[in-house]
Amino acid sequence: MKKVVRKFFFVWNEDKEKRFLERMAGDGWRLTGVGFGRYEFEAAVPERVAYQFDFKVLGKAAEADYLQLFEDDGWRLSARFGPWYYFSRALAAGERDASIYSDNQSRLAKYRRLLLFLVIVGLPLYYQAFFQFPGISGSDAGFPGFYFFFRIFVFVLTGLHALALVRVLFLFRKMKSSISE
Amino acid sequence: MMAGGTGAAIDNRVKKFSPLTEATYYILLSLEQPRHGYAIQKQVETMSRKRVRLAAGTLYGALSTLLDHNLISLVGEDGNNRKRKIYLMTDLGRDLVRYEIRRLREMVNNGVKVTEPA
Repeated sequence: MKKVVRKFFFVWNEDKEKRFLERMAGDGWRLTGVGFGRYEFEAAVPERVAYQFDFKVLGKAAEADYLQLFEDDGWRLSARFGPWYYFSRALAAGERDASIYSDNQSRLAKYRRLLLFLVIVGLPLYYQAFFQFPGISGSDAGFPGFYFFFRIFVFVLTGLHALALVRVLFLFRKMKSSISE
Repeated sequence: MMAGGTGAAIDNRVKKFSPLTEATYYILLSLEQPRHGYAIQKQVETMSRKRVRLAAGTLYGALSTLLDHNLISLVGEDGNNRKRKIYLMTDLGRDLVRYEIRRLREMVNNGVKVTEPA
Protein backbone atom coordinates (compact mmCIF):
# COMPACT_ATOMS: atom_id res chain seq x y z
CA MET A 1 0.00 0.00 0.00
CA LYS A 2 1.20 3.48 -0.84
CA LYS A 3 0.47 6.85 0.61
CA VAL A 4 1.32 10.40 -0.39
CA VAL A 5 1.56 13.17 2.19
CA ARG A 6 1.70 16.79 1.12
CA LYS A 7 3.72 18.72 3.60
CA PHE A 8 6.26 21.45 3.36
CA PHE A 9 9.30 22.00 5.52
CA PHE A 10 11.64 24.94 5.21
CA VAL A 11 15.30 24.14 4.84
CA TRP A 12 16.06 25.41 8.36
CA ASN A 13 13.45 23.05 9.83
CA GLU A 14 15.35 19.85 9.14
CA ASP A 15 14.72 18.65 12.69
CA LYS A 16 10.96 18.87 12.25
CA GLU A 17 11.15 17.06 8.94
CA LYS A 18 13.27 14.35 10.54
CA ARG A 19 10.84 13.88 13.40
CA PHE A 20 7.90 13.76 10.99
CA LEU A 21 9.52 10.99 8.94
CA GLU A 22 10.53 9.07 12.07
CA ARG A 23 6.96 9.25 13.36
CA MET A 24 5.71 7.94 10.02
CA ALA A 25 8.17 5.02 10.20
CA GLY A 26 6.95 4.29 13.72
CA ASP A 27 3.41 4.16 12.35
CA GLY A 28 4.48 1.72 9.65
CA TRP A 29 5.11 4.07 6.73
CA ARG A 30 8.49 3.88 5.11
CA LEU A 31 9.65 6.79 2.96
CA THR A 32 10.15 5.90 -0.71
CA GLY A 33 10.24 9.25 -2.47
CA VAL A 34 10.44 13.00 -1.91
CA GLY A 35 9.28 15.81 -4.17
CA PHE A 36 8.56 19.48 -3.68
CA GLY A 37 6.30 19.50 -0.61
CA ARG A 38 5.46 15.88 -1.29
CA TYR A 39 6.41 12.68 0.54
CA GLU A 40 5.69 9.16 -0.72
CA PHE A 41 5.45 6.25 1.66
CA GLU A 42 4.99 2.52 1.47
CA ALA A 43 3.36 0.38 4.15
CA ALA A 44 6.01 -1.45 6.18
CA VAL A 45 6.51 -3.05 9.56
CA PRO A 46 6.49 -0.23 12.15
CA GLU A 47 10.03 0.36 13.35
CA ARG A 48 12.19 2.85 15.17
CA VAL A 49 14.19 4.55 12.46
CA ALA A 50 16.65 7.43 12.32
CA TYR A 51 16.46 9.70 9.28
CA GLN A 52 19.38 11.83 8.17
CA PHE A 53 19.64 14.31 5.32
CA ASP A 54 22.83 15.03 3.48
CA PHE A 55 23.35 17.90 1.08
CA LYS A 56 25.71 16.98 -1.70
CA VAL A 57 26.26 17.73 -5.37
CA LEU A 58 27.93 14.68 -6.90
CA GLY A 59 28.78 13.28 -10.31
CA LYS A 60 27.70 9.77 -11.28
CA ALA A 61 30.97 8.01 -10.45
CA ALA A 62 31.47 9.84 -7.16
CA GLU A 63 27.87 9.11 -6.20
CA ALA A 64 28.31 5.32 -6.53
CA ASP A 65 31.32 5.53 -4.23
CA TYR A 66 29.47 7.77 -1.78
CA LEU A 67 26.37 5.58 -1.61
CA GLN A 68 28.46 2.45 -1.11
CA LEU A 69 30.03 3.94 2.03
CA PHE A 70 26.58 4.67 3.43
CA GLU A 71 25.28 1.24 2.55
CA ASP A 72 28.26 -0.41 4.25
CA ASP A 73 27.59 1.71 7.34
CA GLY A 74 24.00 0.41 7.51
CA TRP A 75 22.20 3.34 5.85
CA ARG A 76 19.52 2.94 3.24
CA LEU A 77 18.99 5.63 0.63
CA SER A 78 15.26 6.23 1.07
CA ALA A 79 14.89 9.08 -1.37
CA ARG A 80 16.74 11.75 -3.24
CA PHE A 81 15.45 15.21 -3.94
CA GLY A 82 17.90 17.25 -6.02
CA PRO A 83 21.05 17.64 -3.94
CA TRP A 84 19.31 16.26 -0.84
CA TYR A 85 19.93 12.64 0.06
CA TYR A 86 17.47 11.07 2.50
CA PHE A 87 19.10 8.25 4.45
CA SER A 88 17.49 6.03 7.04
CA ARG A 89 18.61 3.33 9.41
CA ALA A 90 16.73 1.12 11.87
CA LEU A 91 17.70 1.86 15.46
CA ALA A 92 18.89 -0.90 17.74
CA ALA A 93 17.21 -1.38 21.11
CA GLY A 94 18.37 1.37 23.46
CA GLU A 95 19.81 3.46 20.61
CA ARG A 96 18.23 6.91 20.64
CA ASP A 97 19.40 8.38 17.36
CA ALA A 98 22.03 7.87 14.68
CA SER A 99 24.04 10.34 12.66
CA ILE A 100 25.82 10.28 9.33
CA TYR A 101 28.42 12.62 10.82
CA SER A 102 30.68 11.76 13.71
CA ASP A 103 32.39 15.08 14.19
CA ASN A 104 31.48 18.72 14.25
CA GLN A 105 33.73 19.66 11.40
CA SER A 106 32.01 17.43 8.86
CA ARG A 107 28.60 18.49 10.18
CA LEU A 108 29.63 22.11 9.62
CA ALA A 109 30.90 21.30 6.13
CA LYS A 110 27.38 20.25 5.12
CA TYR A 111 26.01 23.68 6.07
CA ARG A 112 28.92 25.37 4.34
CA ARG A 113 27.96 23.56 1.11
CA LEU A 114 24.34 24.50 1.63
CA LEU A 115 25.21 28.17 2.18
CA LEU A 116 27.37 28.24 -0.94
CA PHE A 117 24.52 26.71 -2.93
CA LEU A 118 22.04 29.26 -1.57
CA VAL A 119 24.34 32.14 -2.45
CA ILE A 120 24.87 30.91 -6.03
CA VAL A 121 21.16 30.24 -6.56
CA GLY A 122 20.30 33.60 -4.98
CA LEU A 123 22.47 35.80 -7.18
CA PRO A 124 20.13 35.95 -10.22
CA LEU A 125 17.18 36.44 -7.88
CA TYR A 126 18.69 39.50 -6.21
CA TYR A 127 19.89 40.79 -9.55
CA GLN A 128 16.35 40.57 -10.89
CA ALA A 129 14.76 42.15 -7.82
CA PHE A 130 17.15 45.04 -7.25
CA PHE A 131 18.75 45.80 -10.62
CA GLN A 132 16.35 44.69 -13.35
CA PHE A 133 13.05 45.77 -11.82
CA PRO A 134 13.87 49.39 -10.95
CA GLY A 135 14.87 49.95 -14.60
CA ILE A 136 11.58 48.74 -16.08
CA SER A 137 8.30 50.52 -15.41
CA GLY A 138 5.10 48.44 -15.58
CA SER A 139 3.85 50.15 -18.75
CA ASP A 140 7.04 49.35 -20.69
CA ALA A 141 6.48 45.64 -20.28
CA GLY A 142 4.70 43.71 -23.01
CA PHE A 143 2.19 42.18 -20.62
CA PRO A 144 1.62 44.64 -17.75
CA GLY A 145 -0.70 42.28 -15.85
CA PHE A 146 1.66 39.36 -16.08
CA TYR A 147 4.60 41.56 -15.29
CA PHE A 148 2.92 42.78 -12.11
CA PHE A 149 2.48 39.24 -10.80
CA PHE A 150 5.91 38.20 -11.95
CA ARG A 151 7.35 41.07 -9.96
CA ILE A 152 5.43 40.04 -6.82
CA PHE A 153 6.50 36.43 -7.33
CA VAL A 154 10.18 37.38 -7.57
CA PHE A 155 9.93 39.57 -4.45
CA VAL A 156 8.30 36.80 -2.43
CA LEU A 157 10.96 34.36 -3.59
CA THR A 158 13.72 36.82 -2.77
CA GLY A 159 12.24 37.35 0.69
CA LEU A 160 12.07 33.61 1.33
CA HIS A 161 15.58 33.18 0.05
CA ALA A 162 16.91 35.90 2.35
CA LEU A 163 15.09 34.27 5.25
CA ALA A 164 16.59 30.87 4.40
CA LEU A 165 20.05 32.37 4.13
CA VAL A 166 19.77 34.06 7.51
CA ARG A 167 18.31 30.99 9.23
CA VAL A 168 20.93 28.62 7.83
CA LEU A 169 23.68 31.10 8.67
CA PHE A 170 22.32 31.22 12.20
CA LEU A 171 22.40 27.40 12.46
CA PHE A 172 25.95 27.46 11.13
CA ARG A 173 27.08 30.06 13.64
CA LYS A 174 25.53 28.16 16.50
CA MET A 175 27.33 24.99 15.51
CA LYS A 176 30.57 26.84 14.98
CA SER A 177 30.63 28.11 18.55
CA SER A 178 31.19 24.57 19.79
CA ILE A 179 34.82 24.05 20.74
CA SER A 180 34.55 20.31 20.21
CA GLU A 181 36.08 19.03 17.01
CA MET B 1 63.56 16.89 15.15
CA MET B 2 64.06 14.93 12.02
CA ALA B 3 67.54 13.85 10.96
CA GLY B 4 69.20 15.55 8.00
CA GLY B 5 68.62 18.86 6.30
CA THR B 6 65.33 17.88 4.64
CA GLY B 7 63.28 17.94 7.84
CA ALA B 8 62.31 21.60 7.61
CA ALA B 9 61.44 21.33 3.92
CA ILE B 10 59.17 18.34 4.61
CA ASP B 11 57.51 20.16 7.50
CA ASN B 12 56.74 23.11 5.27
CA ARG B 13 54.94 20.91 2.78
CA VAL B 14 52.71 19.23 5.36
CA LYS B 15 52.20 21.66 8.24
CA LYS B 16 49.46 23.55 6.41
CA PHE B 17 47.25 20.46 6.93
CA SER B 18 47.86 20.41 10.67
CA PRO B 19 46.14 20.03 13.10
CA LEU B 20 44.24 17.10 11.66
CA THR B 21 40.87 16.10 13.02
CA GLU B 22 40.87 12.87 14.96
CA ALA B 23 38.91 11.23 12.14
CA THR B 24 41.38 12.30 9.47
CA TYR B 25 44.38 11.28 11.55
CA TYR B 26 43.00 7.79 12.12
CA ILE B 27 41.95 7.38 8.48
CA LEU B 28 45.51 8.17 7.41
CA LEU B 29 46.93 5.71 9.95
CA SER B 30 44.62 2.95 8.75
CA LEU B 31 45.77 3.53 5.16
CA GLU B 32 49.27 2.32 5.91
CA GLN B 33 47.67 -0.77 4.33
CA PRO B 34 45.39 -0.59 1.27
CA ARG B 35 41.77 -0.53 2.46
CA HIS B 36 38.30 0.40 1.27
CA GLY B 37 35.90 2.59 3.25
CA TYR B 38 34.26 -0.12 5.30
CA ALA B 39 37.63 -1.69 6.16
CA ILE B 40 38.88 1.76 7.26
CA GLN B 41 35.92 2.08 9.66
CA LYS B 42 36.62 -1.35 11.15
CA GLN B 43 40.36 -0.72 11.48
CA VAL B 44 39.86 2.66 13.16
CA GLU B 45 37.40 1.09 15.59
CA THR B 46 39.89 -1.63 16.45
CA MET B 47 42.83 0.78 16.85
CA SER B 48 40.87 3.13 19.11
CA ARG B 49 39.21 0.28 21.04
CA LYS B 50 35.81 1.41 19.70
CA ARG B 51 36.20 4.96 20.96
CA VAL B 52 36.42 6.50 17.48
CA ARG B 53 33.54 5.60 15.21
CA LEU B 54 33.62 7.11 11.73
CA ALA B 55 30.15 7.83 10.41
CA ALA B 56 29.71 7.46 6.65
CA GLY B 57 29.32 11.18 5.88
CA THR B 58 32.40 12.10 7.87
CA LEU B 59 34.41 9.30 6.27
CA TYR B 60 33.38 10.31 2.73
CA GLY B 61 34.23 13.97 3.34
CA ALA B 62 37.63 13.13 4.83
CA LEU B 63 38.51 10.71 2.02
CA SER B 64 37.69 13.30 -0.67
CA THR B 65 39.75 15.95 1.08
CA LEU B 66 42.71 13.60 1.55
CA LEU B 67 42.52 12.60 -2.13
CA ASP B 68 42.31 16.24 -3.26
CA HIS B 69 45.52 17.01 -1.40
CA ASN B 70 47.31 13.91 -2.59
CA LEU B 71 47.70 12.59 0.97
CA ILE B 72 46.11 9.29 -0.05
CA SER B 73 45.68 7.74 -3.48
CA LEU B 74 43.21 5.47 -5.16
CA VAL B 75 44.90 2.13 -5.79
CA GLY B 76 42.08 -0.12 -6.99
CA GLU B 77 38.64 -1.59 -6.47
CA ASP B 78 37.40 -4.40 -4.28
CA GLY B 79 37.22 -7.75 -6.09
CA ASN B 80 33.75 -8.57 -4.72
CA ASN B 81 32.21 -5.14 -5.18
CA ARG B 82 33.73 -2.77 -7.72
CA LYS B 83 31.95 0.19 -6.15
CA ARG B 84 34.25 -0.13 -3.14
CA LYS B 85 37.33 1.93 -3.89
CA ILE B 86 40.63 1.01 -2.27
CA TYR B 87 42.92 3.71 -0.94
CA LEU B 88 46.50 3.91 0.30
CA MET B 89 48.49 6.59 2.13
CA THR B 90 51.01 8.48 -0.04
CA ASP B 91 54.52 9.53 1.02
CA LEU B 92 53.19 13.03 1.60
CA GLY B 93 50.50 11.54 3.84
CA ARG B 94 53.15 9.66 5.80
CA ASP B 95 55.18 12.85 6.29
CA LEU B 96 52.05 14.52 7.60
CA VAL B 97 51.40 11.71 10.08
CA ARG B 98 55.00 11.98 11.36
CA TYR B 99 54.58 15.74 11.75
CA GLU B 100 51.34 15.22 13.68
CA ILE B 101 52.92 12.65 15.95
CA ARG B 102 55.64 15.14 16.90
CA ARG B 103 53.06 17.85 17.50
CA LEU B 104 50.85 15.57 19.58
CA ARG B 105 53.80 14.30 21.59
CA GLU B 106 54.71 17.87 22.45
CA MET B 107 51.11 18.53 23.50
CA VAL B 108 51.03 15.45 25.71
CA ASN B 109 54.42 16.19 27.25
CA ASN B 110 53.40 19.74 28.10
CA GLY B 111 50.09 18.52 29.52
CA VAL B 112 51.83 16.00 31.70
CA LYS B 113 54.37 18.59 32.90
CA VAL B 114 51.61 20.94 34.01
CA THR B 115 49.15 18.48 35.52
CA GLU B 116 51.63 16.02 37.07
CA PRO B 117 54.58 18.10 38.33
CA ALA B 118 57.46 15.92 39.47
